[in-house]
Amino acid sequence: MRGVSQPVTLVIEPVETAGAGFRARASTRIDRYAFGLTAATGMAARHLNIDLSATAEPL
Amino acid sequence: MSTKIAGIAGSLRRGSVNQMLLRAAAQVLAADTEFSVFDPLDREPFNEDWEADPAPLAVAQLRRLIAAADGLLIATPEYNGSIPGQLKNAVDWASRPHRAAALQGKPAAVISASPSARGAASAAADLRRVLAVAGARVIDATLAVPRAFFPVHPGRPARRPAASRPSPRGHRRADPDRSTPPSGGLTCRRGGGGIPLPRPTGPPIRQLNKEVVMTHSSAPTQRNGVPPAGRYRLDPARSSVTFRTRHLFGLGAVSGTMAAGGEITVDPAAPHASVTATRSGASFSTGNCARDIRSPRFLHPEEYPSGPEPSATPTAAGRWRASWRCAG
Repeated sequence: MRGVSQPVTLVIEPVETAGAGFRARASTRIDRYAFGLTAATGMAARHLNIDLSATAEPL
Repeated sequence: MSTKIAGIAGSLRRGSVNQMLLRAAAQVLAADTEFSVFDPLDREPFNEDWEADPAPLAVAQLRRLIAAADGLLIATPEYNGSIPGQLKNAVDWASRPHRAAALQGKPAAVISASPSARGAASAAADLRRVLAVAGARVIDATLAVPRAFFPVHPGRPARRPAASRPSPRGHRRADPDRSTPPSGGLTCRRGGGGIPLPRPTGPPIRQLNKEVVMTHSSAPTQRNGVPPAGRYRLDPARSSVTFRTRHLFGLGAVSGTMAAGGEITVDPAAPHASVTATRSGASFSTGNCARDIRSPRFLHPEEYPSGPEPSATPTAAGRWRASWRCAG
């Protein structure tokens, strides 16, 4: 965020494959302070739960 | 193997054009599709005290219907610029319990109709956002039917119903109890002239069919399977990034979405998969434009427009360590 990179660990659910494509879902929890985003301290929570859903098809 | 689609019409009104639109749309689903309709929950307001099982009977029925379905097709009207309360109520019930909700990962397409010129497009957009936050895989394409003043008659040319009668405004209203049953095409009438509505073979239905067919493709779905080596494209219509957090000193919940796209290269021989994910900062939305989440104090996508950098490495079974550059 805001030009700051941080490693995060994603917990990936079992990947579903069907035909030539596949579908994956993952989630993680990030600390926005670690990315330097400290505005609205207290008012807005420090941690965010992020869910990613991806459906992929062969190129 | 047949597929199952669950339909929900957001309107409770008899003779609702959205109920008819839903039935008409159902006719163009894949031929071997089982289609069942559930009324929104109008007598069971969502209560977090009762969100876990055992749920109220009507809620349990709704959850079973959704859980057994391969996809959802929802038709919504627009009341005061957004979705009907009973429809939001049904989504709230179906979004619980967390991590085990019937809606989790369920493909869902939204269609809409209303007398307005925009065809309830605002309500449809709200509903797609709500469904995405609730965990559904929302079909991005839309079908909004505008100027739907009178009953939609799937499959019939515009023809005045036998039991129509003058309304106080001088138009003719069809008696919903005597209206012609649906049987194919889609037309709508206002007064003496018929208003043809687009056949609901539009993008949302096609995408829903495609999504469900993928789930039920002839090649069996494998969980925890390893995709064949190669390069893949993330389908933006079926990929999303959502976040959930708290604000107001922990008193309120905030959630939002952003569009996602990109490529994934799978090489089983390599120690890591290459992920080039992109998403548009411009697509970032919490559904409340008054929030200053995009301001210079927060994400500031105008100053930091770049997308995440690639690189994702598995560190243990089920866990990956990724370095993403997120800016927007």
